[in-house]
Amino acid sequence: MAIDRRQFLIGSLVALGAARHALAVEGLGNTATAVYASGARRADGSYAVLLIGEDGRILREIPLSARCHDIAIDHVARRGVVFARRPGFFALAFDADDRREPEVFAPPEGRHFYGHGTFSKDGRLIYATEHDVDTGDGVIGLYDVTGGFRRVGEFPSYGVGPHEAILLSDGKTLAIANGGFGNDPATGRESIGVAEMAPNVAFVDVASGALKVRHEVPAGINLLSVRHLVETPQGDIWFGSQWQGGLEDTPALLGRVGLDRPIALLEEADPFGIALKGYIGAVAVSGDGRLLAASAPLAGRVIYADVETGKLIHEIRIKDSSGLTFGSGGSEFVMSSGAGVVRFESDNPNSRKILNFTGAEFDNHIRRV
Amino acid sequence: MIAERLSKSALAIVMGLVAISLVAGPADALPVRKSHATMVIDTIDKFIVPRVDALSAKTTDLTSAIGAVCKDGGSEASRKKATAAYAEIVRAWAGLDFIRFGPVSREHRLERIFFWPDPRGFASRQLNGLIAAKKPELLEPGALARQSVAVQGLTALEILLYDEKKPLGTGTDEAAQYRCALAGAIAANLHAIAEEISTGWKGDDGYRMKMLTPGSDNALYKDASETVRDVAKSMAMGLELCRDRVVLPELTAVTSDPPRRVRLAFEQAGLTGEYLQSSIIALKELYETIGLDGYVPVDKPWMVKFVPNAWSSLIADAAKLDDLRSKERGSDAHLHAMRKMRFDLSGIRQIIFKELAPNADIDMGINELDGD
Repeated sequence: MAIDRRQFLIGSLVALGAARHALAVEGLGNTATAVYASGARRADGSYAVLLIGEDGRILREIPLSARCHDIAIDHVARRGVVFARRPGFFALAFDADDRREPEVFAPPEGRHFYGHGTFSKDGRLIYATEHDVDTGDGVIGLYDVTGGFRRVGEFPSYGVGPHEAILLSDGKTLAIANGGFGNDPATGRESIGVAEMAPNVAFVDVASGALKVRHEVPAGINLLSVRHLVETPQGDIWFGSQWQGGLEDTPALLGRVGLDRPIALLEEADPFGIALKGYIGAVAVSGDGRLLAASAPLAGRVIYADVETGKLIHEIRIKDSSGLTFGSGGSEFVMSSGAGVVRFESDNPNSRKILNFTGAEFDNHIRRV
Repeated sequence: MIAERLSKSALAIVMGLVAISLVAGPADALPVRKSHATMVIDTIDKFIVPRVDALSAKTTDLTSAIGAVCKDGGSEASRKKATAAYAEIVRAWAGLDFIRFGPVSREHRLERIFFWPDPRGFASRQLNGLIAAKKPELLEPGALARQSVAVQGLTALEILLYDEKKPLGTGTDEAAQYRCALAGAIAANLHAIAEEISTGWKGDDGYRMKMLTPGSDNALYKDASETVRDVAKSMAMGLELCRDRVVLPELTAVTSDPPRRVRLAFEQAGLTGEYLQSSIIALKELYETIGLDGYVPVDKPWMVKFVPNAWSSLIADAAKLDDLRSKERGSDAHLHAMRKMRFDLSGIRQIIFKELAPNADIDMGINELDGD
């Protein structure tokens, strides 16, 4: 059987990576305070990644040349990669403990980042969602973390406009939210092909780049752009969407999907898609796996759903809410806002707190390091 | 020391009074500080609906003008009238295409009117397919509305109407006649879409009433703070479109090494500058209609003049754009105009969304205004 160069490279890196990654686990991750990372716009209009301690300190600030979107985190190596927002032309890798200089890398000619990426299980690769500018197809770009973030391959995203991609807990499958529309770097962020949208969630074997299965958004609601994904400990994949049509036609914005289950929207008696203004900014699952949280910045809310029953159970009002991640306790979520707020919410009233950061407008995503 | 302190206090008071008078001016010149509800009703009744109605009327003119072209074999005079009618619609649409809520957001109306950006020439390819197939049923009223959005509006019509190699209406072969009839069908389709948008705003069930009657029984809007956000966001959208559709692509292309040429909106029709200028004029009117100029913070009197000056500068620079592109591409004057526009667009946006809108209790953050 012939082995193509790309697969060989991927395979080599995976094998080489395992040993070093095991070493990296020792002695790390012992900081006393939990650390969170988020992109932010500063008071002078500049952009940065901020590393924030849960005690309210800004531990580090790494300047960026432009606005970023999400930060992929390797929790073991305590390393992050921040991606420029769509259409993005840079990514910056940083060490949470400042043991290495940040490294900047870029997509190749004819590609741009969509703002998201994820580490391979062994931490040796980054899978970045990208756009093939010439064809309009979605692509997953592979970058060698230990080799100066050299690009070592790519495979299709099996759709248009891949936004967030997450590596499932099996370590072998990438779930990709193909939002359904592209954009032309020449005209910035303006959407292309909205009327013809065919969004989907694709499940891809990372070893081969082969498609395992792809679940399409039903044709009647094809303007529902699937954007953000999260996996529960039970193995369910939840997604948050953004509606590209008229407000009055907005369907439910949250749903479930899996390797062996098609897309199913979270149906509620109340048309919560309209109340949330057709837009989910981020989704997260609590550490104990019981709760899904979704931010709705256009409505200034974070809503909670019970992952077992699929029912909405709670909401929090938070202006310009967007960033969401799991926190320290079982039910804790950490949420950030464009108003410079980082808020800790959980079942335990004693652990709830609100941190205010003057001169920091937190961007779309926050991640626990 | 006391004297010095007194004189400093006096100076501060005088400065404060100067600042207030700069903002306020004579009592009768004070801009009215509108409520959110008034901002919304004024925007709908004085800006959106009249413009939608004007668009609809102009599409009737265009349909007639293209009909005349096809009838008289594409005489220069009739084609001139048709291109003038097309330019009228470009100007009219430039003043509306940043209103992204309401009836325009349904049934793909936005893209059906103007399919842009089109980096891979999709409209041209789709159009060629239709012309090759020459299906007569596509020329029937309403038939085009079921085709690709790319062939339904201004983008497709520009390709047909401004084709110098095959002037519209000329040629007696079947393909030439079909092209002309298709152009007429596109104009009629534009009229139908404009009418749908107009109808969608009006009546007891129209979007106007939905926005003017927010409340617990209104599925779309609970209060005027929600409706006014849609209105204010249109300002952001319009400023971004000017920047992203014209200014930044042109600047990037001209300053790249080697310089490149980028295809801009309505370039084939020679209306890029007209489109930009009309957009900016409309945005200035929207800014005034919403009444954001009434919310200049008292401690920042310089904004009173900065914003109108920036609008004027933008309009003047946009007016020069087509000439600069065709005659002095890459010249200092061209670059200066583009950079100045970038500066003014950014300045106006900053002032509106960091100062005036929050002062009017319309506080929109980085994620709400431009998330992903």
